[in-house]
This record gives sequence, C-alpha cells and structure tokens, in this order.
Amino acid sequence: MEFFARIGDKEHRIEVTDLEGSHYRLSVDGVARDVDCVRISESCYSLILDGASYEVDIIGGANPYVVRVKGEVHDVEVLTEREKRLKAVTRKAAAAQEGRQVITAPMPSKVVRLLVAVGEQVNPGNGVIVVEAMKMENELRSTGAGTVREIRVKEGEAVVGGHPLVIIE
Amino acid sequence: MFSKILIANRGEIALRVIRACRELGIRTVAVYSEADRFALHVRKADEAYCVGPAPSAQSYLRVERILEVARQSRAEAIHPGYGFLSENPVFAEVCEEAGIVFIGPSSETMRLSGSKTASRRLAKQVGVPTVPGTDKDLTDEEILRRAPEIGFPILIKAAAGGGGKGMRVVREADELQSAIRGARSEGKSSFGDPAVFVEKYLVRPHHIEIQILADATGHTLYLGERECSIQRRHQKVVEEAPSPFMTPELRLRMGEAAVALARGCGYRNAGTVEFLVDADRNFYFLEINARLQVEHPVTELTTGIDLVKSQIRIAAGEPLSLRQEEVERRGHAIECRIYAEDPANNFAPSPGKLIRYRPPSGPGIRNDSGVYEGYEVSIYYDPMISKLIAWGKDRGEAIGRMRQALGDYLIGGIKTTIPFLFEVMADAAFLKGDVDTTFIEAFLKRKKMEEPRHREVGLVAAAIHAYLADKERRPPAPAAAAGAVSPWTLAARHDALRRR
Repeated sequence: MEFFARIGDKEHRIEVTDLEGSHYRLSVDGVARDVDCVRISESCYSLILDGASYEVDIIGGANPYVVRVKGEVHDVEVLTEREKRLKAVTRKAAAAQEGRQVITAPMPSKVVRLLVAVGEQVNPGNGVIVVEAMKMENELRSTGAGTVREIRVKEGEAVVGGHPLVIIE
Repeated sequence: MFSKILIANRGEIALRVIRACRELGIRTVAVYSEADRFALHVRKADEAYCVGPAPSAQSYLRVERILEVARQSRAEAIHPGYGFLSENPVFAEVCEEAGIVFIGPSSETMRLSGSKTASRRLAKQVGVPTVPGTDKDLTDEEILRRAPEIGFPILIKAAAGGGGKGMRVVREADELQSAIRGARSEGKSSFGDPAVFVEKYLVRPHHIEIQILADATGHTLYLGERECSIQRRHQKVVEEAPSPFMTPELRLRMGEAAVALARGCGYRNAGTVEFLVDADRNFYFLEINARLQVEHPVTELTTGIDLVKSQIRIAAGEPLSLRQEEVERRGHAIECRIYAEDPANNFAPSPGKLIRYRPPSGPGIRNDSGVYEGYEVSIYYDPMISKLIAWGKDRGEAIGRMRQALGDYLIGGIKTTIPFLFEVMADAAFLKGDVDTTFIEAFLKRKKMEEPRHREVGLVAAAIHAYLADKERRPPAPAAAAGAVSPWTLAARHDALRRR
C-alpha cells in the first residue's frame, strides 16, 4: 500500500507490504527495508530493524501523528494517494481566504494587552495580543505579514477558546 | 497523634499528604472544586467534600467553607500544602481560634515572613546579610541619591510586585530616571501600587535555599540546601540537592544563618529560607517561605527524612529527636517539574486530556504526580503535571537516571516540557554544574537544533500505523473457497459492516 508521509517540510513516498508474521517490507523513497513490527497497544509499537530495537509511541488517532522514539518527538502526517488529492482540493478552496489570518484565543482566557492597532503593519513573528490563562501571560504572534484589519476584543475582556481576536490580511 | 486530617489543597501535593497520613494511620479528608470531581486526590482520600465552583477564589481559597468542612468531618488538623492558603495568616489564625491544628508555623510567624521589611529587619537583628538595598516608598530623589551608594548595577522593584513583574535592571546612573518611571508605572497598572524600592543587582546569582525544621520546643535544625537556579520567568523548573556550587564551609554558615532566622521569629514546623549567592560565594538573605515547598523531595531523598510526616508529627506535639550532627547527606537528587506547556511555542500552556500517561520507573526514580491516564488538565489551576525526581550516589548518576526516566516518560494528548528537560539533562553546562539564574536563557540561545537521529524509524512506524488503521477500515476480502469460514473472519466482516 502506498503512502505519502510528511515530516517537517520533507515529503516521502512509502510503500508498505504485509509479509508473514510480524514482518513488513517498507520502501521509503525507493529504498527497501524489512521491518519486524508488533503492536503492543493502541499507541505503542515495538520495531526491530536489522537487530536494532525501538519502542515507538504514536499518539493521537488522527493525522498528523505525534511519534515519539528514543526521546525524540516527530509530527508525521501520513496520507494515502486519495487523501492527498482530497487535501489539495480543500486547500485550493481555502486559497480564496489566502493571506487572511485569524488570531484566535487558544483556550478560555482574558485579554490583557493589545499590541497592535487597526491599520498597523505586522511581520511574521510580531506579537499581536497578550492573553492570560492558567496564571500565565501569553503573547500571540502573527505567522505572516499583513495589515491588522479588525480587532474583535478589548482589553480586560474574557473570551472562550477559539474566539477570534485579531484579523490580519 | 491526630486521627483525622483535612488537606486544603489539590493535585500532587494533596496526594503526597494523603500518602503520609496513610502511613501514620490517619484518616484523610479531601476538599475539591467542581472542576476537580475527577481528581485523583478525591478518590484516594477517606472522605471528600465539594467546596465550590472551579475558580480557586470560589473554592480552595474559601477560608470559611474549608473550616466548615473541617468541623463537619471532625478533622483535628489541616495541612495546607503549598500555594493556596498555606501562607495565609488569616487562615492560620482562624484555625487556631476554631481549635483546629494548622500544620505549619503560627499566624504571627507568617505575618513576619510575609513582610519584606519585617523579615529584612529580623535578618539585621540576627546578623544575617541581606541584599544591599532600600525600603519601599522612597521618592525619586532618594533613589537617585542611594543608587550610587549601593553600587551599580541595581534593580528597581515594584514594592507590591512579584513573579518577576515590575522590575528594571539599571546599569548606569543616566538610565535611572526612565527605569524608575517604568517600574512605577508597571507597579501601578499591575498591582495598583507605584511604590518602588531598590536592591543591588547580583550578577548571575545562584538561588540556594535551606530547609529548616523546628519542633514545638524550639529545637531547630537545618536539613541542607537546594539549588533552584534553573528558572523560567522566575518559576523554578529544575532543582537539586546538594548544590554543585556549595562548599562545606558555606553550607555551615548558611545553615546556621537559616536557623538563627528561624529561631529569631519563633519558627515552628517546616520552612525554607531563601538566599541569593553571588559568584564569590557571598550569601544574602532573600525571604522565608513559611510552608512546605514544591521541591521538598530532593531534600527527602538526600537526608532520608520524610518531611510531610515530620510536619504532622511536629504539629501533633511530638518533639524532634534528631540532632544537627545526626543529619545525613547521602547522594544527589534532581527534580524536574513537568508542566503542561509547549516548549516549542514559547511555553504556552497546553491543557487537555491525557490520552496516554505512562510514567517512568527504575532504580532511584520517584514521580510525585496527581494525574492519571484519561485525566483532563484544566485551565483553572497551575499547569504542573508531576514532579519527576531522580536520586543517584552522585550528581552524574542522578542526571543519568533522570535522562533515562524522561526518555521513558510518555504523556500524550497535550504538550509537556518533557522534551525540553530531556535536552537540559544532556546539556554540557548543566552536566558541569554551571547552573545559575541565567541558565535557561543561555541554554535556549545555545541549544543547537540537534539533528534528529531516528526520523526514519518514526516514518516507518507511522507508515505501518497508518497501514494498519487503513486495513481495519476496509472490509476483509471474501473467502477464497466456499469452505468453512473461521469465526474470526465472520467477526471481522460483521465488525467492518458495523463500522460503515
């Protein structure tokens, strides 16, 4: 079975073939290897590759999977060909909204400080608004460049998780 | 000895106290907020009572309600844990008046230790050096005059401030005016008080604290030090005992200073005296924490003394039979606080459900936690999940065991500081013992993005995981021959049809 796996910004083509017992043949970008893999629980696997043994925890039922091995954590998105096509179509539809950034409250919190005003230019990484939750203040930042179009809250306001705070385009 | 104790707290510390009580055959009463009905401490206690809705101010901080529960359950004593009401003199007083034993120092001692000016005065009286500085409510002109006397660099601090807020470092005289303005303004907006005072700014100080224990007769001991310099935003992250910076001579002088301060304010029960130590090993008294501290396990593991049981015994009137020369120090202990925070996202809080919780074990590993798999980390309280402590015969062994334990500690469903701590345990400066209060800042700057070595294994596992997930979703292939169909195949078919 063929998959497209993405870690960070690199994409790989992986073919998985079920062999007998706990063996699989995997081809990663054309390079084949045999893997002995047993499932210990819903999120835990024991892999042996050429005698090297690994305990791998895969957390989360949905993509991207949070994969933990030997203390390293990787976010891996694994899609079938069909799922990959579907995603591209959805992305195209969302392109109509391209460049529009809605900064939302990550969880129920209180707006402490606005760091920008409507009309102001922001660059990626610029702090936009400071919210307080769980006894700590958190500065939310813009991921892209643009202009602050709308500020939907005022300082001191309590908001629910997901509440749109600042719109940047 | 008490027959019943109420624990006025939650999370891992409530569990810690419950365990100590169980060992002593004491029945326990838990209090919980509406958000904590599913908390571990509730079902581990012998009795449990709801004290209000989620916000602390409406539940865990409600003095009258907690007293009401104590009376109703006939608890003879209250252990306040840390945080919440543990250093609230009004609460201690109300307990005293109600005839319920407050497990900790007296309300009078708390009032003294809670006042910056009163505790500095005490230090002067008993001859313990304090950070050179002034008292609050100085005018701008007075500050301008005193600053060069104290010597630059200096720290302008909002008098009502805390947690690192309302502070400005000033290195030269011409920066003074604007720094005073800034600190006053922050003090006014954050705490409603523009009063500021001035302290000498110690360059790269160590934060070292001494554990003290005193019984009802006034017999006071010091139980060694803890190095707590690894902090982020003035919140402790890694603590250890003993301090790699300590010498036996410094330990003796600081220990005796701590005992002098404790005796000077009639301290009873467990407490901690905090000091700042500069690069030349001069120590300066900072404050007295009139409670049991979060990092008490590193002292317990290196002295063999159970501090919570000691607290309970002292409160019950038992004398402390241990003499200062009998206090042992064995090995080295390190504690890592595991927080529900995302280190990759500026340590933003990460509440949510712990869909996987697999704590580590092994020789010398202790995990003080108040969570379990399936537990929902809420937004109402601080984000600490557990304290992971490793003990070894020396610092190197403790670090090795900690790193191993962090590697095995699996928490899924939220982000935690485990990967960050895992890297700190491998950091060259940390291994050498170069830890002072600038550590984390410097560590984040110098941390090279280590090339991950197990990417391919991760890819392979994820691919197999996806493959198996996909296989489960698809209906099984029809039987090749019209022979007997195994019950497994029948079940799989039935299952697949059901899932569609």
